[in-house]
Amino acid sequence: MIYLDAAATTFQKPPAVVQAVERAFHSMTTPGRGGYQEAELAAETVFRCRCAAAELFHVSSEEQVVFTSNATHGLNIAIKTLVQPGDTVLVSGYEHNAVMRPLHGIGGVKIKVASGVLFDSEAILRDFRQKLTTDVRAVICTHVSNVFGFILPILEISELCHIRGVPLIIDASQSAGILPVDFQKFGAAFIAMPGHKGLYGPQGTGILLCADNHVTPLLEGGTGSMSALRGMPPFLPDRLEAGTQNVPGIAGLAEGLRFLQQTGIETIAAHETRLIGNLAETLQQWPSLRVFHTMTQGEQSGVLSVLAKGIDSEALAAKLAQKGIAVRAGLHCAPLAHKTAGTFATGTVRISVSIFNTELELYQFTETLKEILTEKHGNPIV
Amino acid sequence: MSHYLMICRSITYAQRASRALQRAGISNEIARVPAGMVRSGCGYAVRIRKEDLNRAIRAMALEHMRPEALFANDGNGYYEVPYDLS
Repeated sequence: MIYLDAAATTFQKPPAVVQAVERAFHSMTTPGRGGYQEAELAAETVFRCRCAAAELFHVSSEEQVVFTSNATHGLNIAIKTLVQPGDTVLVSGYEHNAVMRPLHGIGGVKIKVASGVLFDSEAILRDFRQKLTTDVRAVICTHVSNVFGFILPILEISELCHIRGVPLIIDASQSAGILPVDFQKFGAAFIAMPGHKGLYGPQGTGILLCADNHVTPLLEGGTGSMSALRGMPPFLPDRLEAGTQNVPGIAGLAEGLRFLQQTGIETIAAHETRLIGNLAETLQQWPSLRVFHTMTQGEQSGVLSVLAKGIDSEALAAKLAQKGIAVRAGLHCAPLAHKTAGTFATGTVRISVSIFNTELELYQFTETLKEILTEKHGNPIV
Repeated sequence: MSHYLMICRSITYAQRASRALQRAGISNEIARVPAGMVRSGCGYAVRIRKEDLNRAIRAMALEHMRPEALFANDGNGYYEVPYDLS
């Protein structure tokens, strides 16, 4: 199989990740639940992962690194801490349902959308400036669109929020491990990210970076600390980590973070954007395809959406799957992004890469796609 | 052997404290707090040698940390030590 769905989950993992998960199963229990060796080893492993995350994302204290089940879990905590019924929030036009559904779930929230035009950072920034009015309680913005790979001007947006004194929640689902994510520099109230995408950890892991202890727990329960209290401990990370932790997952995630440190984020970013840039350059020459790509440096990650004329996106992805190529089609859980880009009715086919994809795989993908389009249109290139 | 227990609010805090002390060259180990020593239940502590106390407090302060409480053990059980931790 040629796997081109890294924006959903990175399928190929560094071998050390898999080994660490297995080792944890055989040697660890749960941190904070005992003074015996297996609990202590679990505690050391979890702390090592916190330290690695704090270092990679420039967080001043390891206590501000909270483990979650995924980015959605972290975003729910962040949103439900900052947004109350009746509040007004400002979001980008490229948000995932992990943001939009919790906002709708709170009820009575007025959602303002800074749309802009796809791959136009200035336009979206202008819209943020215009719509960030005094009634806005919080800003929520994805760093990179999961559909189009559009890299939003997050530093400028964070500066704007800082100037206007509005807390910012960043969804780093598509940027963590792929682009520099700097908690101190971004000055966000929260940054949420999954462990299973660009961090190369297992599914069921995630990280929420928190600016301070003013957080509303989504879950309440045992933490192994201050057990005589009726309520949750008032400090991080315990306040947000009720129940038994996913120690094997966190052990794997720690190795994923180590892999990133060793490989270098810049190396990963350069590899992925080169693969996608070359692919887009080829596909743009085919009249039977609409390719969502920008030539502007630094505005697109390793994610590319395409639309084939006369072929339904899901049908095209199914044909590719039959030929051993994994991509994702449809709305990608981001209907707002598709509305913003004008692809809501059709969806798109998304190709997304990781550090483990090669030029050869992309060439094979291109040839297979050419075959499918030729069946439909004759020669897709003419 | 005489030692102190520096009580920490959580295992993560104890781990941070332990690392700060290691960086300062102070040997230590993380321990669970004996029952009855923390009113809020379940706690962790960092155990240090008695002679390292002042250095340990300073090393933690450098990283904006301080223990919740301090207990000494001279071989006849633990007793709380008044110490200005503010």
